[in-house]
Amino acid sequence: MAEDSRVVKEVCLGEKTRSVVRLAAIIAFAVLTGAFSGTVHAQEPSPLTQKAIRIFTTGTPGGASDQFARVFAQALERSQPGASVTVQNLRSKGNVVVIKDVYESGSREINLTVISAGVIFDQLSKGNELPFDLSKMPAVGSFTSSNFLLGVGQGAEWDFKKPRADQPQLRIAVHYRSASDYFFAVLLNAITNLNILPAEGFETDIMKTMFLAGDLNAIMLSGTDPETGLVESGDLKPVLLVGTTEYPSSFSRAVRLADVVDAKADPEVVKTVQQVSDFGRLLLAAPKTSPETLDALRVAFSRISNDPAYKSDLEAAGLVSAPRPGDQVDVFLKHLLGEGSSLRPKIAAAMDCGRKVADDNSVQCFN
Amino acid sequence: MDWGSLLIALCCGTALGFVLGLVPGLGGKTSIILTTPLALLWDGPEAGVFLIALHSVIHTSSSIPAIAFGVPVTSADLATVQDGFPLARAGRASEALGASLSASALGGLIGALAFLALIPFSRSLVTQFGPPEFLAFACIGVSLVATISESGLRRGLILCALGMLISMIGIHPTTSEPRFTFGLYDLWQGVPVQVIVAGMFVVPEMLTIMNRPARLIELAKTPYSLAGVVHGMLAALGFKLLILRSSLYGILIGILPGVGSSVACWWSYAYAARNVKSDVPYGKGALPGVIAPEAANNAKEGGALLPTLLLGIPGSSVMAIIMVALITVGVPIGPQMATRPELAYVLGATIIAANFLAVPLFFGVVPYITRISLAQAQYVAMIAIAVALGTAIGKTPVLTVYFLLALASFAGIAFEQARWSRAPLLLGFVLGSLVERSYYQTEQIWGWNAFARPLFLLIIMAGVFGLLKTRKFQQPGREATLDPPLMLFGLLAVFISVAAYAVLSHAGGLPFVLVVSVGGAVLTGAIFFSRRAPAALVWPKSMDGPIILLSGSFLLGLPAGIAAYFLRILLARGITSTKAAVISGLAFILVVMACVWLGSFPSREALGLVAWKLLDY
Repeated sequence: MAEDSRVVKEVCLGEKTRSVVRLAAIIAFAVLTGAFSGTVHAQEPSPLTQKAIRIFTTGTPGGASDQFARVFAQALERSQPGASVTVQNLRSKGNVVVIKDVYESGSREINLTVISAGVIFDQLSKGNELPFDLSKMPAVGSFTSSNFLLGVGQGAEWDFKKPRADQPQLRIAVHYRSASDYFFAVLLNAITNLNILPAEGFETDIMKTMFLAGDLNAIMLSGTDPETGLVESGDLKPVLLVGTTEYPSSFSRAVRLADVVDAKADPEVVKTVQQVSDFGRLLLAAPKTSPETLDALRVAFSRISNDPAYKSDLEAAGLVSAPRPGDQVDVFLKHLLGEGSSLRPKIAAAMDCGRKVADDNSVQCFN
Repeated sequence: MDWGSLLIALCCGTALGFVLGLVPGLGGKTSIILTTPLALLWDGPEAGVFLIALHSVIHTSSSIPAIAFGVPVTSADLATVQDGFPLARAGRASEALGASLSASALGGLIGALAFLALIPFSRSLVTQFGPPEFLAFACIGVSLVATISESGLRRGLILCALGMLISMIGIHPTTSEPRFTFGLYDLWQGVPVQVIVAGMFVVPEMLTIMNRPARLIELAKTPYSLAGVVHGMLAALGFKLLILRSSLYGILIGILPGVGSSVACWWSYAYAARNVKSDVPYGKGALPGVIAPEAANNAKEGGALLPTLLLGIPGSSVMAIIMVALITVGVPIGPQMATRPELAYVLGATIIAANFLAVPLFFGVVPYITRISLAQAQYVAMIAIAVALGTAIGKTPVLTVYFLLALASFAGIAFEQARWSRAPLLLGFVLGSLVERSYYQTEQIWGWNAFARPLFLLIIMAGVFGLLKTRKFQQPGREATLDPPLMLFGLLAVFISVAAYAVLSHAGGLPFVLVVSVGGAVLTGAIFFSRRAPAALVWPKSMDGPIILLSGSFLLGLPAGIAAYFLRILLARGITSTKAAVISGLAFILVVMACVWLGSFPSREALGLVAWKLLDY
């Protein structure tokens, strides 16, 4: 009996010991495997930590593009421990030279640049004259929408229901002939019944002074401009919102482009106008960026866009986040600017017509 | 409001601004960009107090290197250099610095008081000025050539036309088409002002000094003295009306958006040269020539704050950055500021406080700075050339800048040797783009209706009256100018080529280009065919120094180029090779540190073409 109990005890203990040993082995294996795989994972070099990342901006220091680049750079360093991200504002070089440098740069470093809608229009108008092709620069993503708005001053008259020939002229000042405000003005002439006369060669501050003085009865501004304060102060009445995003809230009283567009207008042209406004600030990479690096950048962009700390940093800088993924931006740029694009001649024709409307309001753009 | 933290922000901003103002090449805008992250450490009006205090005193301290070494820190200091540096060379540096200090402090005070007084009328005041008024101001500015040209009106107009043509290089202001860029994308942004300053002014002036075996202070009888500074300060107080008038110019230019601060300085300088008597000719060390631009320079800050804070219209790029920083920290800008008017008053008072806090700082720094001017002139000049060329390359790091610097230096040396005053060239360069842009803006919106604007007419009439009232600007004891045929032929070729190229390439703004280029050609031709005796240019020695600096930094990078330049010059001066190598090595390390600080690495210009290619960027 005692023997039996000893045997049973031994068997049980042996069984128990074996179970414990087995369990311990499994745990050890799991831990070791996990640790090993973790080690392997940690040692696997991320393309974003192997090379220095440089983001070039050319906008006003402290302006929207510059601030987006800096907030994003901080978030990228946080999300990729070991990554070195620097932001260089090279305004004095000019955006053409800076984009050219990034466009031609090799793969020794990861070179990125932030561009605004104006550069897309610049390529549309200047074409081969520019030393780069945006459709060949892979997009990492779009930070936010520009959300262009047409606003009017006190006493200005307009009526979307009236034919263009009966529309009073809206006189605006724009930066120059290849700036986004000029393009939006002439394209709105083409696709709505508005009659906008753009005067060229004005800086933003002079435009604003002239608007406040009553020398202009309308103004075109973007949702990221500090001049949005004019809406809040009641000096500017929002009339027409080009983009489809929902900010700033003060713009919400404006009519949406889709609601007032000319029934005969080419839907593709209308959609493009909205998209350029929506894809406001783009983060583009050099064409020689390797596919692995580009993927890593896009994944990081997507993660950072949903990072609450990033959003809160943007909010603190007075910026609104309305990001779009890089592949969407790529498709859009290739469709609009790529070789053999069927859209490009349509936009060019609409712009030509919009220019004629400014001189002669009886011109019809879509028959 | 937490008054304690406001006071800390005021003291920090003033001290930092004063130090940054001493560093050539930084200028107001770069200093503000570099220090904005510091300002954002505060979360409220302290950030604004810090930045405005910093910006208010930059021009106070920037006058020190401008007067002591003839190196302008900002483009606004160029007018100060005209008489400040000759005063220093004549042994009156302390007096010039004292006068500059008084004028700066009083100008800042008047500007700030004007800001505080005009707060209730800001909107109606700012909206009175539009492009027609800017055009009128710019045209009056160009007419100042008659005043500031020491080498006669015709030569002044020729160089003014040349300056205007240089300002047309780049993108046309309305059509945005490239003009005179010759397929070089680096020229699309235009020629940087640093290139003109370094090539046309610093290099020729300093090469001339280097070839004289003299001390920078030629008389060397009156080195720095506290009594001298106090004497200068009191002497400036004797020019009350000049300070008041210059401050008013500064305030007015500050209020106008898009008109550079250097316009205010030149305007007031020209006013002084026309109307204020001086025992020494202007351009040779006239004290009022220092007082007028310094008062205008500091007064304009008060004027610029008015549209920036109360309308949200920044009067300059610096004000735009300050505005963004203020918005970031939650200070209401524009019409919303009416909800917190006390902030506007605090920021206005900041200018006054900063200008007065700068006085003891000035006294603390000046003895050490001016002591350097007792050193052998050739060494100071050597450093000045390295700083000016290095700044121009580092500020706009594009390869075309090397070529432009070489070209501007050769032209500057030629004008210097021919004793042609180069100030009109700078005036044409500064005002050229303003004249052209305002003209097209006025034409598109108003056309002839511009003459129906009362303020436009008033400015035109005041300008014409001022010109008629102008006293003949005499330069007693002025050296006779030379008209070397080679230089005149070169100028003639430039004007004719530009006119022909503009016609053939259908350049934007063709009528404007033709008026300037044909006008320049006619005036140059008149001198060319009327000159009495042939004169040859005598090229200064030591020209190999700047050539080594430019070619060395192009090939081996900016730090190596500057080190090679120092080595060459020091060895030529008979310094032992060990000492020369140590000094050059120190210069190399300093420039590397500056490049790292400014984020210039890695760039083609900082690394040099050879390293760039070897590293396969």
